[in-house]
Amino acid sequence: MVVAIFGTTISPYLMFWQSSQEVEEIEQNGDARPLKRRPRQAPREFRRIRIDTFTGMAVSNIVALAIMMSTAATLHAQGKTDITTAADAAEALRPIAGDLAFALFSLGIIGTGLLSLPVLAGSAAYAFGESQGWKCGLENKPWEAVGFYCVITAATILGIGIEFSSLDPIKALFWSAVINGFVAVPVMAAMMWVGSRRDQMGRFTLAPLTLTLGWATTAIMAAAAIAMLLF
Amino acid sequence: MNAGDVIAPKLPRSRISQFPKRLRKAALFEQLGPGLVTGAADDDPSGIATYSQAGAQFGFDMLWTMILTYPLMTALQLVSAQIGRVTGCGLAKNMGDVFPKPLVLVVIGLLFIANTINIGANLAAMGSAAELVIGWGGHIFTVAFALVSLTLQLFISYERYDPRSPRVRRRRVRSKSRLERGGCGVGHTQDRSHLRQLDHGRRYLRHDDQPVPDVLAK
Repeated sequence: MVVAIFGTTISPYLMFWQSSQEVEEIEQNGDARPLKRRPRQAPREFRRIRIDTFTGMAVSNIVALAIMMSTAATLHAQGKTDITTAADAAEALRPIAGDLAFALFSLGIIGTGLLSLPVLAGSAAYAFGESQGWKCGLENKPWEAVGFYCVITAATILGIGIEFSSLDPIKALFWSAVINGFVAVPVMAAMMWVGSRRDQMGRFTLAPLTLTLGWATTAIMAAAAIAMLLF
Repeated sequence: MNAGDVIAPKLPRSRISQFPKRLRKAALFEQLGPGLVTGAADDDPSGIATYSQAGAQFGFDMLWTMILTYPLMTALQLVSAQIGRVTGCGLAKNMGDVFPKPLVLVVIGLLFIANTINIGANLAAMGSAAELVIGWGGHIFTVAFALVSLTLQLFISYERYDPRSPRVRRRRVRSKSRLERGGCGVGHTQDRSHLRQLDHGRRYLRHDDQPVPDVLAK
């Protein structure tokens, strides 16, 4: 369970996504340039990134905490422990927490789903497009970045296909978590390596604290991936 | 997204003191962007499934994991954001510069597979959630959600659903290509004009070398 929680919280697609979004921010703001070229923008940009990331991750973990606490207080307290999907949890909440809680929870699933689809499809498209030197970015019109949008469309259509296939969604999710775990470790290691190289980052290589925490997380995720393989 | 910071110093002092509260509020809001979206996207339906499973099975005993993952995850996402902001290129491009291309492609291929399965699982969860509320549908809603999401991504540009859009849109410089602005575009390595740009960047960096506070000189 701990491995699953770590795997869900720390996902490689989020790492691809946030860096690509920062690039998109540069493109959208007329005054912004990569900090390597325009170090004068660094102090306020690093401050902004820190506030943004600290807040974003806090929101993420507080929401996760709230979900755990509410299911602990309702489902666990009532002895209902066999939850496998989000819809399961919603259904189980109905008799215990009432119709309103059930409806809220269900709408929450749909809402976060709609938010996560572009991030999942987009991060794969950014990653693939960047590696091929394609024009990437959600600010482009479809005909301006054909390859990029093709990957997004392919990921979504294949996603529908998986939903319709005889593949058990819970098993599929398990395998996606396993693959996620195995992709996460090399991605994290590669990312930390890129971040500490002067030829990529110029004078803005990572701070010691970030570096230590980042490598520690990589080690923990590696241990989690091995644990997942063994148990 | 530095709009808030750019705007605040440029305003004359008298105007800042005129609406200090509004400005400060706006300034904090302007600081939020990619990190917030990333954090929110982390709690997808698959995540909700895992967290409810943990709560249902172990009660309050698993809450510590969220406290532990906070600094770890924040550090990783900081690295991701900084790589993007410093180099002007996404993580995949940077990885391709440092590691052998085939290796990076394998990792990206696995990422695509994992993401696609995740999309499928999320769509399934959304479909069954809709079915639970309305009482019918399921697959219909799954396809509808997928198509709505796809259409929005294809035809609504990012800046349109960006809350800061009006100001950002005005500041956006459409005429300048990625290459001119020193970003990482197509033909990054072959293009001579890009090399010149690099040169210029270095020169600029040299005589603009002002001391950077210790915390930032990473």
